[in-house]
Amino acid sequence: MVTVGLLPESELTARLRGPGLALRAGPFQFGIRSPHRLVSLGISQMYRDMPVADPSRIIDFELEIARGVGLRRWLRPQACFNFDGQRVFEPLPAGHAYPLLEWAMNWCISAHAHQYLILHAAVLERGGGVLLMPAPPGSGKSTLCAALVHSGWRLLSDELALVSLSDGMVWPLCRPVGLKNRSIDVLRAFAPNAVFSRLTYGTAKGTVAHMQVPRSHVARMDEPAPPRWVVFPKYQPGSSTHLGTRPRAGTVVELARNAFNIGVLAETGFHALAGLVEQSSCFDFCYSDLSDAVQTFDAMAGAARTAVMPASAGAAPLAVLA
Amino acid sequence: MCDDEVYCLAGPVAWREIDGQWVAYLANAGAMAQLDELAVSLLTLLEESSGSMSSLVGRLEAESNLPSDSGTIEAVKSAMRFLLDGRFVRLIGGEPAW
Repeated sequence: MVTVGLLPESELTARLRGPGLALRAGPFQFGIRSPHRLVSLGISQMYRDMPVADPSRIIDFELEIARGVGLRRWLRPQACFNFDGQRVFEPLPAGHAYPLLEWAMNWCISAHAHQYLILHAAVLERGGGVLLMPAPPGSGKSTLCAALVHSGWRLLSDELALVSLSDGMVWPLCRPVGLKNRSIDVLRAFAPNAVFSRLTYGTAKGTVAHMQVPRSHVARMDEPAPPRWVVFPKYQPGSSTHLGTRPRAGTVVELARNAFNIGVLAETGFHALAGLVEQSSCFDFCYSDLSDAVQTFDAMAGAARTAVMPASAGAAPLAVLA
Repeated sequence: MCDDEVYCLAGPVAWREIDGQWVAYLANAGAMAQLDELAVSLLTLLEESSGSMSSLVGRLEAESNLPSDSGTIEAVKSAMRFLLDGRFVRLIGGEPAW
C-alpha cells in the first residue's frame, strides 16, 4: 500500500499541482489539488501514514485549495476552496491554506455523505465499543479527544461521527485532530511525542494546529465499531471531575441538535439516532484536569468490560468514579 | 386558543419509546421532542383526525377517563401550546389573526 509518506516530496507536490492527490480517509476518496506549499507541507506531515487512493477508483470529493485570482495572487494572497470547480467558502489568507483544507474536507463529508447519519462529535473506540462526544465549541471536546488518543483510545474522528444507516456501526475517518489556542500547549505537555502541524495564527478560531493520528490507528481505518457511550463533555476551569448519567430519551433530542443531516435523512435518520442511543450509556461530564478526565474515561471503559452497564439514567453506574 | 380553531398534525410523526419515555420526530417540520403522556395522547388523536380543542378534550375524556373539569382543559391547552410551539401541530381554520 502506498502511503503519503512514501511519496517523494517532489512527487507529492507534482500531484497536488497537477492531476490531484488521491487520498483515502476512512470510507472516502478525496481528490486534492493545490499550488499552496502550506497544503503540501500539511499533508506530508499530517497524512504521512494515510493511504494514497487507487486512482482507478471513483473519487468521492474533488476539491481544490486554489490561489486567489487577479491581484490577489500577489497582494495579500488568498487561499480559495473550490469544490467540483465551484467556490464554496469566502477566501482566506494564504497562510490559512492548510486549516482551510481540513475544514473543506469536513464540509465535503457533512454536506454530501448522506449514506451515513453524520453527527458533530469526537469519536473514539476502546474495548470494541465507541465513545461519542458531541459538544459545542469551547467545551474541551477536541482537547479531551486528543488526550484520549494518546491514552489508549483509538481515534475514529475528532469532528464527524459517521453512523451507518444499515447496521448502526460507527466508521472511522482517522483525520488529524484539530486543536486551537491554549489546548495546543496543553496537549504538547500531555503528549510530548505527539506530532503537530505548524501553527496557523489569526484564523476565525484563533491560533489552530492539527495533531497527527498515530500509525496504529490509521492501520485500523477500515474497522467500524458499535456505539457504547455518549458523553457530553464540558470543560469548566477549577471544577472537579464528574461523570453523571443522563436520560437516554433526552439524549436523543440533544444529539439531534448535533446532527448535520437528520433533516435530509428524515425518519431513517431519526431511527438511526435513536438506535445509537439505545445501544449506549449516556453521561454528562464535567472536568478541568485532563489527567483526571482520562482516568475517568479509562474507568468507564473498564467498568463496561467487567460489568453490564445500566441502560437508563437514575442509578449511578459509575459511583466508584465519583 | 379559540374553540373554533381546528388543529392537525404538521405531517407524519415517527415515534420511539426509550426507557419508558416517548420521543417524537416530525420530519416535515424538523421537529423533535421528548413528550409527556398527555402530549402523546393528543398527537395520537390527531393522527386519527384533526379536531378543535373541545372535540379533542371530549375524545381524551372518553378514551382516557380523564375528569371533565377546568384542570383537564387547561392541561390539554398547555400540551397543545407545547405541540404548536414545537411545530408538531398547526392550525387549520379559525379566525384569522387580523
